[in-house]
Amino acid sequence: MSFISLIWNSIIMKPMINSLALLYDLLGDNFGLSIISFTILIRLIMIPLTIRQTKQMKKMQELQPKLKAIQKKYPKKDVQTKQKMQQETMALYKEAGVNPIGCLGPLIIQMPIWIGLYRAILKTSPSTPEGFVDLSKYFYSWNASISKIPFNSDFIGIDLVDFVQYAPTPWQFVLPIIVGASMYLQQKFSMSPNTDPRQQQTQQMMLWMMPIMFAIFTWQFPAGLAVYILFSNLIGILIQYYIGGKQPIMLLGKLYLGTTDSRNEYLNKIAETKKNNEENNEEKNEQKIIKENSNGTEDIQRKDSRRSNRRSSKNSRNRSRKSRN
Amino acid sequence: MIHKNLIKASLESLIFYKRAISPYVSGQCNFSITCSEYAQKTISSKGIIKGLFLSIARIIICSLYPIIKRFNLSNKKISLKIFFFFSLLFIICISCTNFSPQGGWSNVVKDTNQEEFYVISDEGRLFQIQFNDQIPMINWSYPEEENGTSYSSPIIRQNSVIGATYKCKGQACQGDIVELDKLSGEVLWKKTIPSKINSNLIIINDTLFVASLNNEKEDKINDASIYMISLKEGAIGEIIGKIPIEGEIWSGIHSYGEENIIVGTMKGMIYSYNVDELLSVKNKKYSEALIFSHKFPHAINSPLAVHNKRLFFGDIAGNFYSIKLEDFKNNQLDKIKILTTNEWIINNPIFLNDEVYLFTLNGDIYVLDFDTNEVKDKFSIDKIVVGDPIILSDASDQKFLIPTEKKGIEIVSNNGFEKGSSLGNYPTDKKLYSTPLIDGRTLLIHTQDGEILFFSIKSRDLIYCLDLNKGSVCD
Repeated sequence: MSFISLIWNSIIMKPMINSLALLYDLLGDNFGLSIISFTILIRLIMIPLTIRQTKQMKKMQELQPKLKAIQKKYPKKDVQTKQKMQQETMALYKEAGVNPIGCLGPLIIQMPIWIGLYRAILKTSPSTPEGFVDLSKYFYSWNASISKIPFNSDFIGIDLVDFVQYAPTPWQFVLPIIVGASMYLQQKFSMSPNTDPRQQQTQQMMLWMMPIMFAIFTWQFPAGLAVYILFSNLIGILIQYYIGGKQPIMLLGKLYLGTTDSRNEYLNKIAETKKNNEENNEEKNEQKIIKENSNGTEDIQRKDSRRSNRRSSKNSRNRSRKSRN
Repeated sequence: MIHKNLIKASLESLIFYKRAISPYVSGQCNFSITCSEYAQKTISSKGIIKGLFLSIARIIICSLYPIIKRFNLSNKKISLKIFFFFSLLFIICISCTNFSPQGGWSNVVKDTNQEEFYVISDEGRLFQIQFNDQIPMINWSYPEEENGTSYSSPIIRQNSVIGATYKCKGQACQGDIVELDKLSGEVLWKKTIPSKINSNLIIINDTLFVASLNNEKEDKINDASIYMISLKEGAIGEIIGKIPIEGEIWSGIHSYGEENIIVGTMKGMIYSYNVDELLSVKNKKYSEALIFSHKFPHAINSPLAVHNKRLFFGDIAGNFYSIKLEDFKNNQLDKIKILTTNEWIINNPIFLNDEVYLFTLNGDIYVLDFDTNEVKDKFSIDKIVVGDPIILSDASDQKFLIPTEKKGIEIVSNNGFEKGSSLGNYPTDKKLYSTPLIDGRTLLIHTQDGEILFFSIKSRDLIYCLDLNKGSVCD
């Protein structure tokens, strides 16, 4: 346990607290600006990852038809064919250089950052004497900004160390809503028009679940962490604009901010994807009908077997009663 | 050469694993290039460090595969599941973070007339302890159950003892100050203030001064206040004043002269008041009783010590200030002498034969000239020092007993040529945030988790250990 905490402290907590303190010192003793610039730094460091993620997503899209072909190749659902299908899909991924879990990278990397920042923000403004003593252990010996402690955590009327639920009245409701909204927008922008209807469904769910979850989480965060997530999302939107084919502007075009050309382009694209989806759905429906037909006999067989099971269990019960008598 | 050999060794061990272990241990591999093959490739092509790192990462990713396989989900759904799993982990990590106050900073205080000891445990209970046939016993405790926490030492009066504790429910904290009868442990009076109490109390002129951290959200201008509680007969336990202070007081209230108090705050302010004038102030104009105040650039978390009409204190930036009180009063701040140590100073200095012994949080000991504040000598014990050190003087020699955070009470010589060298310690792995107490041949110290350790001064053995929270011998 102590080994884990040692690694955790030296990789995440110490760099985080020190850089927060340094930025606080540099930016004229403003903790809010310190957190915002820290966010920008983190997003800058993670840019290669984000680029890789978008590239992988594009590759995945290109693979969709091939995947479908494999799925068609193995319509049966017994264990052996499934294994074969999985092996083949894995081989396909390998060939294209796609890691199916790779898209999760940025998300999983964000988790320790959130947890670390949550702790770092609370630690930099200790409310107890032992918290104060503890804080001194996190500073590098060369870091002179240590003398700025305790930080002035007031930022546009919000105490950044305090939890959002205790913030002054407009902010305690506004902050979760803004965070949720920014999360929604970022996801909307980073999402690519998908051809697979099943995937689209899950995407839609993610699109709604994530913002709602984060709005609820934010309630229990220190306001500083909410500021981090908010700005991280805003920067994410900006990055998407440069990497992801300038889609956000197209979306904004839909919101009557862009030129007429961009709007038309966007609308055309939407129409195309819709058409594709409809075609896919038709295909799927056909498949379903076939499946139902083939499953019909199996179902009857299953019901029969259930009945026979019940019978046998009844019989056994009767037997046991008899034996008791 | 070493690098090449390492690569060779690791590759050979991988081959061994593939041939001898793998076939019997695991079943079919889920990946078209197995993990061991992947490791072989990467280590031979990318070197030992990068290769090992990559293959470990690969093993981790592969171990996630059963989840995918089990749920048989499309990629997006897997990501959803994994996301929810991590968010659950996230919530657990956040909820297990403990930032609630722990306490246990109270010193053991001895009542010299009665041979009784008093201490406030980390659970906010005040104990009376007495030796009974050389075995320490708890006579009484107040209250019987856990009651928040405490950072302040008890104060002993003629027939009673005063203690302060505080407890928090969410954001709302309340501090309790209580005076108990020494014999029976009964409550004489109790006062509750809507604030944390993070530091020591002091009695001057039959008035109890309590430094508080303001908790009320309305009082935004003042971060803290000093409560004055009357101990005079007729008005005992009544709050007779509340002095507003800029910055939170963490180092306690200190006294100098006959009836002056002085405090330092976390916003770098120093205030000094005359108690007599404070008591006669009308309409809450406490500034009339102010002797001097000044704002320093950094937070002051060290006790303010006055010795031979000179004021000493340290701050968070590691500056140790020394100034004559008169110069401070006359606002001649250019006469202030500053020593920069670059380490946090939160301890009380020790004054000995025209020398000041300064202890920093990281365990450096500075020997300073009393008048000039110049460094005469410097030692280091390289341990975290939170509690105030004390002096142990025998007929022949003189030693410092320095309580360290988790490494026992360090003994440092202050004699001749071995000055500053460590002479061993009183061993314990408990957190020590309080000051040791010398009582005859035994040394007492209160640990952070509510135990009192009794050491034999000469043999340095632990004679006895009393667990206050259990009320019996420690495990």
